Amino acid sequence: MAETPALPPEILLDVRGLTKLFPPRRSLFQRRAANPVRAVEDVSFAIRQGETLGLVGESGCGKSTVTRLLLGIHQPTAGTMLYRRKDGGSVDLDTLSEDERLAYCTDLRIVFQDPQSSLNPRLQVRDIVGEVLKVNKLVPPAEIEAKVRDLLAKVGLRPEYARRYPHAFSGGERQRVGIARALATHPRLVVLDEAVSALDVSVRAQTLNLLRDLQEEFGLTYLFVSHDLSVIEYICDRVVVMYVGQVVEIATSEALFARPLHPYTEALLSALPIPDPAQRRQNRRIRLPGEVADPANRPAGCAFHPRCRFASEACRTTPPPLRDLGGRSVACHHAEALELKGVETIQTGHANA
Amino acid sequence: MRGTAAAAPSPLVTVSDLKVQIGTDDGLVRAVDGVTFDVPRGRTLCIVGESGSGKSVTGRALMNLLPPSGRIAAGSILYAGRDGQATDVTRLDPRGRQIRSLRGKEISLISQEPMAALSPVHTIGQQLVPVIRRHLGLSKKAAQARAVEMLGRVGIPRPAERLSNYPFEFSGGMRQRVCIALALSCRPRLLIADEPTTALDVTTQANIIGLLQELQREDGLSILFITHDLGVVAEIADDVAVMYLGKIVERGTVDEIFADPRHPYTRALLKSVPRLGSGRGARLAAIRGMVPSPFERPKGCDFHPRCDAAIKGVCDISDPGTITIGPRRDVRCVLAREPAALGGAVHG
Repeated sequence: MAETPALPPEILLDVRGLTKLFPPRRSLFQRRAANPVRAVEDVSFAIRQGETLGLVGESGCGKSTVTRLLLGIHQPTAGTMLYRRKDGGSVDLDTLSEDERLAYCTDLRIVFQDPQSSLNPRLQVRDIVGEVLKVNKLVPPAEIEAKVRDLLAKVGLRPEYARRYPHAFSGGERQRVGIARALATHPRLVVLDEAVSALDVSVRAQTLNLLRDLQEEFGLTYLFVSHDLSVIEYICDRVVVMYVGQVVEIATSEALFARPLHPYTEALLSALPIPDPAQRRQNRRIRLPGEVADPANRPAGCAFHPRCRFASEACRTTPPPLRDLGGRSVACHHAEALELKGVETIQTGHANA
Repeated sequence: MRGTAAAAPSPLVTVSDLKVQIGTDDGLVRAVDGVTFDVPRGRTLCIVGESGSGKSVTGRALMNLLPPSGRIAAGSILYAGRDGQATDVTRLDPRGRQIRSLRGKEISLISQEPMAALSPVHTIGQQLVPVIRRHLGLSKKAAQARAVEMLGRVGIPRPAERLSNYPFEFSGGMRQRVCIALALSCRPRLLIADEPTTALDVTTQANIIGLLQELQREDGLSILFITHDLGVVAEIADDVAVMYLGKIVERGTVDEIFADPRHPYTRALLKSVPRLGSGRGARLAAIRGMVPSPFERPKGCDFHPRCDAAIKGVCDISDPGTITIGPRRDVRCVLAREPAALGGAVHG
């Protein structure tokens, strides 16, 4: 294994210049080959030990591709993903040996969006949760069931449910089974891929509370992927905002919601419906013209410029790099000059802020 | 446009004690169990509830458009026609001529998944034009002009060219716009919008909600908006009905529901959503347990096993029934008469 650059001690995973292009789909009747789909391009961010990092964006922004690259489902076209091993050394995920990959797979776990399709309907819960322990020989076979019962109790399910099949559970309970499965190997990093999006409001609140409790108890690090900004604000320490395959802004949750630096972040915040009818009258909503750009035909310059009310000539020609700005990062030529509205200002308006 | 309850214009649709049963492999489900409400002219009623609350079935019942195993078991749905005559939708043959002249013409529907609502093998024009000809009795040319006009109104660029496009050539937000154009092309008076923005991105959702509000202002359309998202409710509703297990547990204007919720379920729902701007706050006030299966309805009040204010010996024994506490303001809770008994205010 090649020596890889050292990671600062607080960083668990460091993603640099991550790029994934999918070859163009060439249809039968199309003479000209289409452009490759630039699902993820030059994405860089770091996940710190013990934090909850949010990854937010609309459909087609590449957030799912990023999680798939981290999980090894796709191979990156370019870029590095440096991971801190349990012994303190660091390794690039792309160059893992077979043994290291297995170890990594028990250390990084995922909870999927749809608890219905992510659990095998033909297996009992004890097999769904216990399988990873058996395959990786982490627990002697005789002790697996006891371990599963223990895990079920941790996520708030009755231990005797271990013998049940997924169909006997409600959506919220199934998602708890998915969480128990993710925690079975004592992972350090858990990817929550829209893990609460499919749940009903009342069950979603229970699940968010549970995720917080588990994080505290096990010292977990979360990568929380979601399109729902109010949930992101509630659970995340820092947030990465993506638009059409690129990172447009990274900041602490507090700073991002108080004062976004990228016009797209501002538009996202302002688009979110606020559960308070009194604010409807004052809400100064920013309406974005047009639709999210096609990752196969990304606009030249800044990908957001056709929808941006501040776009200038530079935005049409030169792609803005992600740059540091007072402890946060933003990819906008005009970030310093703009006075963008945070949640507070959007909700109350300038006059009576 | 929100006014006080008293200023509500005369209702376009009046639903009384509607009951819908749906047959399943496990037995008969009382999907809608005696709901009473109305949709005033030119206003928006939001039905809000979690999955299994019966909100979608209620919406479909208004068009007498139930799944084959479903039937309207009791109640009436009075639709006030243009000539002043009221029609009881429940008494019409679901496949008959009368209901078909209502559907699409007077009452139309947009649903959550626009791709499923459109035919994938017909162009947008082939789907819009015949509907317009059928209901408005226009010539092919005039119907085409009307289709182009509608696509333009819902914000589709270059509408005349896009008439020959297939649904797959549109993005998700644009497809929903096509569905809205299709739904409104025959100038209906009632639009049933069943979670029309749930599958869309937030910025697209904001645009679609804005579009519906604009069309309502221009045409005086009545909207029955079905959703689980309280943010969307606050955004679009004039009136709100909260459903739980097939019953309306609370009904009032949007301001009344958000500022002065009286049913413990409404209160708990409002408290369980994270509020933007409140930061990485304290724990959310989750509702314990889950919505019970329709086959295991609790005795007494449906909500009592999950209710913090439930009174032993009262709530677990008898169904509270609907208590009217104001004009068009109903609460299905024994505590409705004594607000003090419910504990502090929501935001307190």
